[in-house]
Amino acid sequence: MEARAVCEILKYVIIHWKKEAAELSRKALLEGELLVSIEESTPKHRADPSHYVTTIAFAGSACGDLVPKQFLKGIQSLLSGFSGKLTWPSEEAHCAQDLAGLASFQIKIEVDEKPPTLMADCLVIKQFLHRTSIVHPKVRFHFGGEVNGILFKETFGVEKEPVVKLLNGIGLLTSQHHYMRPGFLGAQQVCSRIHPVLGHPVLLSIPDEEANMGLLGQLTLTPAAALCPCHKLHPDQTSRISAAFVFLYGPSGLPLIFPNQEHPLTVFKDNSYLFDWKKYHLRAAPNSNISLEDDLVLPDVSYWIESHERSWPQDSDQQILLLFLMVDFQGGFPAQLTEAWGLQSLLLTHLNSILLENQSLVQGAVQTAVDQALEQHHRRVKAQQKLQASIPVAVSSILSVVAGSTRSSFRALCLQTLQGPFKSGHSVILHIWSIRQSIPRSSGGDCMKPSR
Amino acid sequence: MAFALMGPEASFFRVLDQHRVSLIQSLKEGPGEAPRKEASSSEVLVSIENIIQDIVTSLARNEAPFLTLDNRSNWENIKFEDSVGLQMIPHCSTKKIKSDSAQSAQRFALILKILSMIYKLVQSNTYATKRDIYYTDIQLFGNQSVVDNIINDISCMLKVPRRYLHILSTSKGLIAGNLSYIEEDGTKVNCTCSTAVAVPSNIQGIRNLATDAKFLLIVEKDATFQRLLDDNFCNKLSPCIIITGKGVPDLNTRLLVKKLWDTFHLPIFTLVDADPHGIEIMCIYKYGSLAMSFEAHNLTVPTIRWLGLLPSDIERLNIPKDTLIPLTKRDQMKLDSILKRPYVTCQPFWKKEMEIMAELKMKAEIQALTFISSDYLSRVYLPNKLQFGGWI
Repeated sequence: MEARAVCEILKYVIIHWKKEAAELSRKALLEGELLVSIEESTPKHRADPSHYVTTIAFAGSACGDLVPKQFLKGIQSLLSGFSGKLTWPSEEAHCAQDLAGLASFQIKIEVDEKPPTLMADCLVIKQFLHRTSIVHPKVRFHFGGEVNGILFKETFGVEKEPVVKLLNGIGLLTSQHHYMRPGFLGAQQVCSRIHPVLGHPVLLSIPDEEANMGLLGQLTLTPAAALCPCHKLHPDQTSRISAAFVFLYGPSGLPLIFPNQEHPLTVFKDNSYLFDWKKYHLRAAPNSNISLEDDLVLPDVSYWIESHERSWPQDSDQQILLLFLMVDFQGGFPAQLTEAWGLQSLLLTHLNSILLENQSLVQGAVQTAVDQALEQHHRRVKAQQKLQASIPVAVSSILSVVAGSTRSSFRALCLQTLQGPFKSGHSVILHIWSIRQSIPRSSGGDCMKPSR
Repeated sequence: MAFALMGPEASFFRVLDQHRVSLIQSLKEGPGEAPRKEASSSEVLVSIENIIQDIVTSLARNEAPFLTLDNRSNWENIKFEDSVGLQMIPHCSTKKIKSDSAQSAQRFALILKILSMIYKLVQSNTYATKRDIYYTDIQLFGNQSVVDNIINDISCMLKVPRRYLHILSTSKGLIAGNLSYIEEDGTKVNCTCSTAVAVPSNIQGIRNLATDAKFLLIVEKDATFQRLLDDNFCNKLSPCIIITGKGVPDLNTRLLVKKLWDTFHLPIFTLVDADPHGIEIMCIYKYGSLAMSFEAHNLTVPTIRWLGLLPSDIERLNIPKDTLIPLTKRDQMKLDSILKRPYVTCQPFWKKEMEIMAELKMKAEIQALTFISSDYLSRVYLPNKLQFGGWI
């Protein structure tokens, strides 16, 4: 499958960049440009598999030391079993137009694929680029071409997008639109950014069995949590957490799980593995309804969330809990790029066992980050609960005075008003509407005079 | 009236009598008392109904209702008048208690709750204390101070003294001496007993007040009050009355002091510790408090004089240094705050005394006088002060 090949090459490029950049500064964000272009090289509308050429071009400050032949050899070794054709244009070949002016390299992949398969591949590649772009905010990823007569062009990593630096050269794009559509939550203007809380890294112990398989070194997991959207502009707005998304990243800030891959990490099927939902009176259920056709960054794990305590007002906004789990090796890069690339796959193969072995550590780290991220939400929920609890008190007090009054003009006016139609769902109005039947029909009378 | 005549000779009270004459003279020459706020039950009921009507009207217009409260505890809303004390300015700043804000919705609901309870009390002509209100639903109210604050807010909002809301405050004060009266339920009270009498909870209902007292002494602390009782002070300096609010006075103690002034125009003196807390308590009796400034006319007695313990007495009487206590940081802040209050400027002698205290950086309790002799307070200090006009 071409998508897998393309993504593995992209991973290889990123690893190379990270290795080169780490020699200068481990904490600096990667910078560069990467282009993936897909063109059909056979007449259009043929039903038979068509011939497609995918060009991967990249340019960056770390490309200066790249030795093309070695690089190509490394890529060829990691794509063993790939049926397509891999070519490397000569060094004198012209740069990709989009990357003109920078030192750039190109790799071409040629495959024969049926159009529907290629469309699916495009979605996979696009999602991979999008996922990678949010943790490498200074790298611009261009994805474009012409497939089945349809031109497409997309760029991930727009300049001047807000970024939060996490750790070890990994950042996080904080524009909300990567994770949730604007307008998904009603017409109110919301803060356009997420505010991730970075948790403490925990050192994961590697079980002996995994160590014997070659997974050596010090492995750390660092969580980051955020609520999306941020509600700081509307502290009085009721909100409920309706979903939780988990994004897994491995060394070099690469997505651990291939998009659309069957999920190898069974630990997450246990809803309580990562987080004590009960602490916030929530319950979670796995959600496998994720479509690659979505423009948003798709999570590796998704949960439906609902409160098991009370029903929420109809006008509650929904929020998503975003959880980023960064897994990385402490210490330097392996000498060989292919070895570094191989560690990624090895890690994914054994990550389930490692996570199971370190559940309490992982849960503790995640819980701390999520607690901080939800602190404001929790305070708001408490405040909203107070508000909801106060409504029946206010209403019964109002009705008590109206019902007890012996002044007929006052009573008549209030009853008339309370029994009239109401325009929209103000919560107090709805409450009065629901209990108006309890208003006694007093026949009136003189005011009670004091007995003395 | 027939009280036991055990006190000093008439000449002892010469300066006191002169003082009383000058007080009455000042009253005649002064602007006169402002009309007291009184409200009938039906007026209170209508006021509450008007508030409810406004809320219902807001709901009908699809607007979130709110209540408007005066900012009672804001110095910017307070003015000082020598004849009244601290009182709220006519057009003071207000705050909105919104029903649709998470921060204020609960307070909005509690105010309505207590309003509805007051409505029932007034309508049924029954009374309840603030404590009774709190205990109707302690989970809802949370704590007593929430109830107390809301009741004061309602009193201020309706511009009606609390007693007209049919909410009584629990009295904690004690009174003793040359005084008798009949309570609303017909109980006859004579305060000349050797033990003190509790300040009644319904001051408005007191009838047939009678006294020959030459002065009323307000004592800050219960311990000092009991000491004076033990020393038979009320008989030794008869005819007189002593009263204590046991620290910061409750409303009924203040109302009784006010009633005694209004009825008899007695010279009233305070005996407080020579510390910022004692001075503040004295100011509450004389000029009123920030929190209750909306009811100043009913509560303050601006003619009160400071009898002791004066900071200048410390040096004058050679009170032992080891009985003095250093001013704490909190004391210092309170003293600075009192010195900035508007009424201090018209009390130069009080200001001087406070400056002496600030310079000394020390405070003294009344009990420090016992280091001179155990009965120095009642045998020497107070009689000398009262006989020779040692008040400011």
